[in-house]
Amino acid sequence: MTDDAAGTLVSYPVNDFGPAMKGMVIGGLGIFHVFLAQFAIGGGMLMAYFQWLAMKGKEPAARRVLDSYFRYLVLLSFVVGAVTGVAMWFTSIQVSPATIGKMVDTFHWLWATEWVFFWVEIIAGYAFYRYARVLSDATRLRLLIIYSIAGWGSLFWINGILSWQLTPGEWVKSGNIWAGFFNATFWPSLVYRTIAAMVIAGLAAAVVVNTMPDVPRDERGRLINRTARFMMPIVVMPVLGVWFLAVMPADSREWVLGGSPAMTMFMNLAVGASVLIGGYVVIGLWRQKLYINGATATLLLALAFGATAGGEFVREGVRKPYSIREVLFSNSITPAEVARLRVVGCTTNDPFPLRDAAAYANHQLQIGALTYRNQCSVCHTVDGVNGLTHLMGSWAIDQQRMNVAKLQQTKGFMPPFSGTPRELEALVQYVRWESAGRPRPWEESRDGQVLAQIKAWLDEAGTRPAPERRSKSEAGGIPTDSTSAVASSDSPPPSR
Amino acid sequence: MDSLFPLNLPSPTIWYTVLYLVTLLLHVVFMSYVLAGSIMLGVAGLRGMLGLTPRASAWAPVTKVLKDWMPFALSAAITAGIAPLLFVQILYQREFYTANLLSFHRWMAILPVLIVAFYLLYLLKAHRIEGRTAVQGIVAMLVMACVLFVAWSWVENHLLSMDRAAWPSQYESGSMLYANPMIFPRLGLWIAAAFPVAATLLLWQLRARASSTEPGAAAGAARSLGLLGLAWTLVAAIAAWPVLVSSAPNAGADMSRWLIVAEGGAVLAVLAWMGVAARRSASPLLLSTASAGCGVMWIGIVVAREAARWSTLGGPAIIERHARVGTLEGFIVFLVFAVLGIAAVAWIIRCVSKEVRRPS
Repeated sequence: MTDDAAGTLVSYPVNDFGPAMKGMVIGGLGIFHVFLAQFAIGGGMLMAYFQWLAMKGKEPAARRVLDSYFRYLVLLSFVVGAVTGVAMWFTSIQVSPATIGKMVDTFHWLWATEWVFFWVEIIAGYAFYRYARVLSDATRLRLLIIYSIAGWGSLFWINGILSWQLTPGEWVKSGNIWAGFFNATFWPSLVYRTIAAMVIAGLAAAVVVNTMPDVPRDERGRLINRTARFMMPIVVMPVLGVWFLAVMPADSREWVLGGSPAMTMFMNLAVGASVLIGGYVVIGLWRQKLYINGATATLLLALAFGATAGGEFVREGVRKPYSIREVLFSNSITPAEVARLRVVGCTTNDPFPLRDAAAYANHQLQIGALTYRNQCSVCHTVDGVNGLTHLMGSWAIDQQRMNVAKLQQTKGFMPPFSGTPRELEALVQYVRWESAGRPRPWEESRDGQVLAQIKAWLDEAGTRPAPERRSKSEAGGIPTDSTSAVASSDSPPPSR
Repeated sequence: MDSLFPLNLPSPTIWYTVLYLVTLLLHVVFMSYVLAGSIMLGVAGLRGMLGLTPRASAWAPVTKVLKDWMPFALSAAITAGIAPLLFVQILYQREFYTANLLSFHRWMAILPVLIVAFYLLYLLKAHRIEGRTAVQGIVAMLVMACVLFVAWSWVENHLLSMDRAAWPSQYESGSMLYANPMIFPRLGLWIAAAFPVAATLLLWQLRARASSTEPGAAAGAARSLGLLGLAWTLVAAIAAWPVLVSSAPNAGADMSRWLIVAEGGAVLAVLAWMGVAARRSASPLLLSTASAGCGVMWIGIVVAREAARWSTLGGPAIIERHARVGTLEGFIVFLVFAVLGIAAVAWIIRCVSKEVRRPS
């Protein structure tokens, strides 16, 4: 379910990924794509550097690396990079059509600009790949510089769009795309990714150098030392990391710095792997001029992959409860829609029926399954990864009702519940039924007092997400929204 | 007389429709080469396995060029496909996304299939399997199967996106296959119309490397490609009208005018193909005429196809969406970089061609 630019709800079919969390699917693909794409970008820069070294006579063997290594670069980046890039689009559609739709609507001209860069990249890269052996040194260098600029340019554009998701800044108020594009995390993120690209390429080059036994050992040592110099900007990474942390939203920073164990762990993974690589590059390869064999280079490359994985996980995770901060919750409901859905319901206008309606013991469970599908399934499964039966199974029934009704207070990174009290009760019953092993029969819960209590809890929690509520209360009071007017002190106690 | 489609639509819709069509046509150039080329390679591979290919086959120079250039053509087809993919998300976001979601794994499968096809194309080009007819045949047929799977998926996705009434039942059924009697006729039309484009491009390529091709083989290849272009242009010209009209009977004049354009292009291309086949050579004039004919035919086909889609999906809600989303913010940047990008590509092609032709 989503809200397009007009505020009209659009229902999309929701697919079930089985026991795998949707975030794992897009995250896994994203890590693979980012690693490959950064490798291609850094590879272009390294090639240009090696070509320059070779033509200036500073490192004659650099030419041999260039002609062998570039084949791998081309093969990997040209199509796997391009196809996984398209795959990111398609997977985003599968996971959250509303989010990718909003991104496309907002930044389509910048995406079109990125497409121009793809073209230049592919033509320059293929021309080099195919004709490098017959081209003059000057033309080779120019081609590689064009390839590098085009590759880095595509990073420039996509970086602005991705960082906008976390820190859309003034765009939220003005709608000016440049205010959104050049957002608070744009520059630290861009420089960080550029250096990451250089390091990945440098480590890959160290692996390739070790696959060239016809190059004498001392020459290989010199080449590896050259790659170490190329990777030296890694020393700036800690500064960029701190800069990124400093400008990200305060609540997101809290998740990373201990508020969320999973995010803190992945952050530490990224930092730890980067420190190890950086230490080896700066002290071992550059300062002590050590030789690095293929196995060690591969291990460092694997660490770089781990750092990329950790970094991407954190980047995706810190946006919670939003997929686009202040604009769209991760379940594709806009903040403005929450109050309305509390009245009309999130399942009322869903045109897509359940695939297995007959498998549910009663109508209420069907509503519960629909509520789960529309509000929870983007981040949770029923009993797989991040499964609701595991997360809620041990809670008492009133605890389940209250915790879901006050979801944004139960967990700060959760969006507010966006449905009627009946839908919330149906969701609770659905989770309980699933936890009990889907027994038949299962009695419907129809207690009016329960629904009234749920409504009271919903009203107490309000329709705004946790951080905003906190900042508003700090500023002098929590604004009352339309639905909270129903909240009353004489709400009946829970009956079950 | 009414304005010509899409000029009879509100300006934001015209704008994005035209951009979609222009970028789609660019994609069609490479897509046609890959689609028809993979079929040519697959058929040649099968004939080779069955021992049906004579040693001095007229197709030998053609398959050689295809093996050499198909990996790049596939990369280019994918890259060229990104822009129409972007603009279709502006034009028909809800419909495109819903069709993707309904087909789920089966739709997503096109991505690994494309990667497999790409590496198989490199394998086909590898010296290691040269002369190993059975291996080459199997690899070529696998490539053909991969490309046909992707083509079929796109046609199915397009038709499903237009069939709003079928969405709930399609979702409820859980089926990742969408049954529509128009899928295979449309796929056939795309394949038929792809062959003349591929034949034209191959003739240009053979002409560019005339010095490395034996004259007799070049003449045989020209005749074969001329006949291939002729036959498939006729098939496409005959099939276009019934196939496209039957999928959107309400499109009326919006579609029929563009189908007339397509038929005009086909006539021009047929005349050029007849000349190529008769003379057993492709002069620049004949090739330019064939290229223009194919270009006009494809313009007619893709605009008629779009008119069909608009007649089914278009309406006030979608127009209002285009007006809301449509913004020129960022357009100037796109324009500037598009000019710079074209200049960079032109420089690369000119500079590299000059150095490649330079005597060593």
